[in-house]
Amino acid sequence: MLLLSTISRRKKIKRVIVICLSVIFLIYILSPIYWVIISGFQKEAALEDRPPHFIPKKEIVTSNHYHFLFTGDIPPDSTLMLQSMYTMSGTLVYPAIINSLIIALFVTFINFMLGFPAGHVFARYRFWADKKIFLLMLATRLLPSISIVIPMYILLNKAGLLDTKFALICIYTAITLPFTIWILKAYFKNIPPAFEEAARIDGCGYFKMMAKVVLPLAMPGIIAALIFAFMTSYGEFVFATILTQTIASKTQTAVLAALAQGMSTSRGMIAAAATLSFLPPLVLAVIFRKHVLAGVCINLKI
Amino acid sequence: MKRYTKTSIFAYSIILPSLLFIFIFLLFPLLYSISISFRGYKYGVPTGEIVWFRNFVDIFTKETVAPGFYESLLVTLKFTVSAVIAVVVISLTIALLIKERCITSTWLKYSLLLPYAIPGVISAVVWNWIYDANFGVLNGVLFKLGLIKDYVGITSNPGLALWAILFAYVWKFVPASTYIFSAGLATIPDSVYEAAQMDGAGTFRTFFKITIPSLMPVLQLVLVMQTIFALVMHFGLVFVLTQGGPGSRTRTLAWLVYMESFTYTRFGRGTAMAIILALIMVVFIYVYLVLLNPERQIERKGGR
Amino acid sequence: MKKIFILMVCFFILAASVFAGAQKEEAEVPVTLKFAGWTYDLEKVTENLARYEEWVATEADTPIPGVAVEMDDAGYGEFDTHITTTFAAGGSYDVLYSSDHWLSKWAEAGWVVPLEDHFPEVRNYIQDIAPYSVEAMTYKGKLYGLPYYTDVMYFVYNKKMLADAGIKAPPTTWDEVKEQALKLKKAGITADPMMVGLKAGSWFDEAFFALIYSEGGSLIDKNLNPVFRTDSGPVYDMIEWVKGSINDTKIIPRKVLEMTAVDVQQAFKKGDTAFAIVPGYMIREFNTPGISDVAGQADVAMMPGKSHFTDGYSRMYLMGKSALREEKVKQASWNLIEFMGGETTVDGTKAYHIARRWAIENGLGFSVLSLWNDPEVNKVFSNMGNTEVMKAQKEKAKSKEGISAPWFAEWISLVRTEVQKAIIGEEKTSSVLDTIKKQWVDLKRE
Repeated sequence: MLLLSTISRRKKIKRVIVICLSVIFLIYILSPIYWVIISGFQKEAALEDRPPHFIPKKEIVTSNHYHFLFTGDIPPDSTLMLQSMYTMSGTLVYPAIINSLIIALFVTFINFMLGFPAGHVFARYRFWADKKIFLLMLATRLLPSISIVIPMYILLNKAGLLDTKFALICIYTAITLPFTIWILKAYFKNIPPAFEEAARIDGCGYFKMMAKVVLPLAMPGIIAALIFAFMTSYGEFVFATILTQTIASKTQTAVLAALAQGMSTSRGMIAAAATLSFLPPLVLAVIFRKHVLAGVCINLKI
Repeated sequence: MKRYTKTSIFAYSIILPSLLFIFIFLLFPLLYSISISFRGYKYGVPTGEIVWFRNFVDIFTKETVAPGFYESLLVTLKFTVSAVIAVVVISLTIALLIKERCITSTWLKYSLLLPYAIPGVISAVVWNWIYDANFGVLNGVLFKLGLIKDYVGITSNPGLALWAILFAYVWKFVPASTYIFSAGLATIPDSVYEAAQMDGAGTFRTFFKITIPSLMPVLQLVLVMQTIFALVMHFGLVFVLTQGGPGSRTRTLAWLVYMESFTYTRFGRGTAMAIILALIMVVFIYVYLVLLNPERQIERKGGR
Repeated sequence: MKKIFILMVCFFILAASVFAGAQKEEAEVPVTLKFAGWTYDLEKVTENLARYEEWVATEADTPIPGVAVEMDDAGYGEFDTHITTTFAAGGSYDVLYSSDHWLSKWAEAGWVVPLEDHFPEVRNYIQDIAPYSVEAMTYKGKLYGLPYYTDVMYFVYNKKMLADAGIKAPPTTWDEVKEQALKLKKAGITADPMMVGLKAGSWFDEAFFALIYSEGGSLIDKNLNPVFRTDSGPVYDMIEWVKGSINDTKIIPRKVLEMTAVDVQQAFKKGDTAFAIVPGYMIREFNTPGISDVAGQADVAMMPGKSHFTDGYSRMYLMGKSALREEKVKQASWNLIEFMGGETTVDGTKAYHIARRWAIENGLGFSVLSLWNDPEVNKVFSNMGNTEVMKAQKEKAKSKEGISAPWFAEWISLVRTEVQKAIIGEEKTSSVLDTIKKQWVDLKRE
């Protein structure tokens, strides 16, 4: 009896510790996001108050920052000082997000078209130098992007592709493909090849088999890999900031970093812009949370 | 043999487009970067002279003109080691917390999706606003708690700057490894723990005798990944938060590569430095693979 | 699962159509000028460019119809990097902003062309532009551009704070600054009595030279040799003074290491500090009610120190090498530079239209001497602060030493890091000065 009670007391203490630690980590994880979202809805003058308004009151809430980001209309109620803080580069945020989305979607699509069959081939067939090619591909993942950005710049300029979405799409595809193939290879390894063999015996051609049999089976893995490709290309920074110059190809990372560097820029506007920028991948991750988690775990079975 | 060739042709026809992408946009620039590192540049214009390894030699010997290489090597190592340790410790802790199946577990599990999904640079922008010396919320919290009387600089404090970057970095990179650890923990059967409990092993004993050994392969993966990330992925944070300052306190190799190439416009030397950075990465990974490879450990034991 | 897949396909088709649409938009224009500037009041810049497009087709001396200007911008801190990467990879701009400390590098690399080789009439402007500004726009004896704006770094103080602490006159030496600052601190009027932006970015150079000059220091002589002593003298003293003020007396907060002049401006407006070193155009906002919390309290004093000298800087318009690709482009580029920085006839009136507009609407300084005769401009500047002091300070302004060396831009960015190291006490001031001296010598030898 005594033993049992000490055990249950121990369990209780453990539980309290677990919850306390969890809460601390939750605060660490969530508070930056809370703060940036809240800041985007506060009046500029309120953001300069000391201490800041941790929970904003009604009278300091405004949607002016968002209004400005989309329309370029400087809030009419703001003072002269605030007006000078709304730099026109703020209006680039929205088109830049669209650019980023276009680029990321294309990359995701190419990843699907190329990575899906390639992952399948690596998982199912033995062929000349297969392991070497696979390793070489994985090794390219290790390349720090900063080490190839200079040659890339010079090469793209020679090809007249500097400051185009096309160039970024190609580069991001090259960056994400190895990883997509890696994940999908691991995923196919876990699917017994029996289904495919049966389809083959039934007289299915290769492409029909891939579309009708393999694709549905591999869907969760594919989604996981594609989401990763999407996020990587959406959030890439080094290439984006150096290889783009105008809004024709500037992505949201480049615009946001420049905006945050800008002097005396409205802080509320930066916060609103940051919120807008991370919204697409965030929504995606929340919708496909199961796949994201599964995708990370596929890595384990190399 | 003939079948093998036929399969090869088929396989290559499928993977060729992928290989082309990777070759044209990753490997070719890499080879080209080696050629750049052998060239002399002045004010961003190639001098047309092939200098072979002089750029590399300069990096190691000319402290005045190619400043701060050793310094930044030290900063980089300091950051990488602490980042890897911090990420591993925190993510393992969170993974264990999630495993406890408390009310907070699901919260923890899904809230981690947020930093995971936010692009690195955007998170830097967010932290930049939090650390702001004049109106930042971190200052606000400290002020409210009465810990400081006036708003202070955080990223300009020589003792804090690197740790401020680390704090933001960990925030962004903990989720992925937490999920990996969670998955790894899930593969350990409950019966093992029950058996340990029967033997009267305490929490810590179980952790070190059962959890850690079973997590070895996962740990290896996380270490390799985190090292690769920590060596370069802090670039966005340094770019937005400190620009290498104060002094040279946060001037990491990745930042120095950027400065050499794009501020001092010495593309040859910058590229040479980037190649050195890539080599450091390879060394790190090789060491991990040798030290932590479970198969190899078993082999060694078997050999004895 | 199928639904998700269909959804995804829809997405791609949508994206593809948007992409295809975006590619087609470019309309054909006879002359398209590529223009690069840093991000400052882009709305006004865009307006000016639109006015130029109109003007060049009608009122210009040699009208060119159908000129369109495409503008790129980058933050001031990244501007040199942006231009360098563009040109180093073979790209170019037809017209671009520049600052005095980049001109020599860009000119030496052949990225910008000497204006007077192609348009000798530009020399007519020399008599109407202040000599230090002309000097800043000249490389190897040739004039490269026309001024965008020029300014000097001023020592600004808060009258009310000083009065509250019982201080009658603003400081005239750095020791007095320290003394008064400590008084202000002790009286609880401000915790951070003095600020000067020392973030390792572009504004650092202006602040650093202002501090050095004020004490009578000198870094580089006319023959491009370093002339400062590394163990004593004004340069050493000034760095030591800043170091002591940040670490010992704490009259300057350490956060100035992450602040630019613009952050200092904001802090001053907020009433955080009593003394500040800022560029002239910022002063106007200090005394404007509704913009500033300390409106009416700010005033300008001569830079403290032994010599009271300060740093004067010039920003300018240059012509990039690609402007030479075609006679028409060349002419249009020159027209643009003259429209922005020179004297042109717009709507029948002849004036320095754009420089005047910047001066009146934004309080930007100018080096065009005849603009002082403009009553409207004069009114704006007399509202800013003590005009007498400002005039006196302008006369005691020197442009940055050594800017005629093409390696200056690289050297100064090394200096920023080194001086910060000295300030945070990572290295001794003397060894830091040794290092930057060696760096200069090595770079010169290369």
